[in-house]
Amino acid sequence: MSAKIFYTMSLVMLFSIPILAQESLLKDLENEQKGNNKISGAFKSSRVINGHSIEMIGAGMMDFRILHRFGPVSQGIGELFGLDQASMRLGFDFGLSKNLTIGVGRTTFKKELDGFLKYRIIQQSTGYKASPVSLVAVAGLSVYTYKNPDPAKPIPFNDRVGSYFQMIVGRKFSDHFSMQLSPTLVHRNLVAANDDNDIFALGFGARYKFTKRMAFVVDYSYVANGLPKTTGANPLSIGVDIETGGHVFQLHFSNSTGMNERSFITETTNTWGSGEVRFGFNLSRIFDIKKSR
Amino acid sequence: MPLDAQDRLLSRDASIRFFSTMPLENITAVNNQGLSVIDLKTGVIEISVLLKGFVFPNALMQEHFNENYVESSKYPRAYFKGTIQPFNDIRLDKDAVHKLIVKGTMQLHGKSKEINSHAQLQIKEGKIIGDAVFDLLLDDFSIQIPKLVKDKIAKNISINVKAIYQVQKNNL
Repeated sequence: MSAKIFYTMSLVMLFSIPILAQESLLKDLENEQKGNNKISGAFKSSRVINGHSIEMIGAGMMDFRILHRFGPVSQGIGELFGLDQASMRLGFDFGLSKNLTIGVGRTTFKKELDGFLKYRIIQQSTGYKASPVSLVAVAGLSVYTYKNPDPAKPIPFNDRVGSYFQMIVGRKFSDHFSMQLSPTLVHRNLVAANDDNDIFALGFGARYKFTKRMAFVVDYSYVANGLPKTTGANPLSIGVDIETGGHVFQLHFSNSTGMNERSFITETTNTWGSGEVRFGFNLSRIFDIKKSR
Repeated sequence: MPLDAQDRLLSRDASIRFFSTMPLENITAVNNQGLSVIDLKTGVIEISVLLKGFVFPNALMQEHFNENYVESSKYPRAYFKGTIQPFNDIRLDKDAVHKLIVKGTMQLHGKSKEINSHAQLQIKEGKIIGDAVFDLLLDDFSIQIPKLVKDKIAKNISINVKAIYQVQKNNL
């Protein structure tokens, strides 16, 4: 090594060290520490409005969900814009682990019980082994329990059952904006003569968070096949999420009344075009049910 | 004069714990991956921690902490830089407990605040253990607590730092 290079290098080192010392001594370590950084909070709740979102409720948590759907707003003041008619679903979701949730619920319409299993396969993350999207799989089952008014013709159990399978791909694009797509297959054991047993739908969900605790949300399902075009409609819900600590309120307007996948995907007959829009809300309250450490 | 490697103490697994103590609810969260360095030549101390790395008793609290309070995607780290006094008589080859005063600036949530705290550096059989306890006021860092949960989250958060330092082998 020539003396000149050595001299230059020593000079560089001599001057660069005091300059670096002005900054953080930890810069390199901080950069090294970035690692895999999971992205969470794409949606305020585990549902966009009707459909599942890419969010999970967390290990050891229970989500108590009360859903209400009212009558058409177009009924006017005589029916208090639909509020005189209400159907509801009570549900409990349990976070078995951070990536696995099971849930059960019961809806007043058809006295229907439903349950589901929701598993997050991939969580959106940055850094090492990054993933640009979250991927969530859901499988669910529903059984309606209302009795045929004619006691001589009971409905066999098998005919009461429906099921669905869903993959959700979603991404939190920024602190404000998240979007997801959810191809869904709904199967009904017993259907009307002109309907198909299997219905394929593509769900679309998005939110725009406009304050720390409030967001606009849109939940839409495009029913691709299986429903008679004359009566079937695509459920579209538009609403606002309000988060207040442990509660999330999801207030919305929708053309659907269903509160489980079988119901809102296959039984929506009203349309926004004809003004058959209803008010509804979801109330979610999260409890910590694991043993305190 | 180039820095002597012996003069720097480094910790990559500093434990940073905070407590919010209220009659209705006590909340504590911990991060065991804090970074800290002490330069014994100058008395400069730095502590840096990723806010996303704080682990809470439950997932909802953790989400609220990151999303609503510290906004960790916008401001990923809490960072402290200051000086320790006195630092001249700290010798790593002699067991002792050094009582220190730490003075410096805390950066959190896009805001800076001067902080003074008592601390100690214990040297015992070659182990170097740093401890400090101090309080932060959420108001100083523009972290707002909504009325609905104001009985559950303290305005005054107590911070506890414990770091085991290694003598740095090579210069950064």
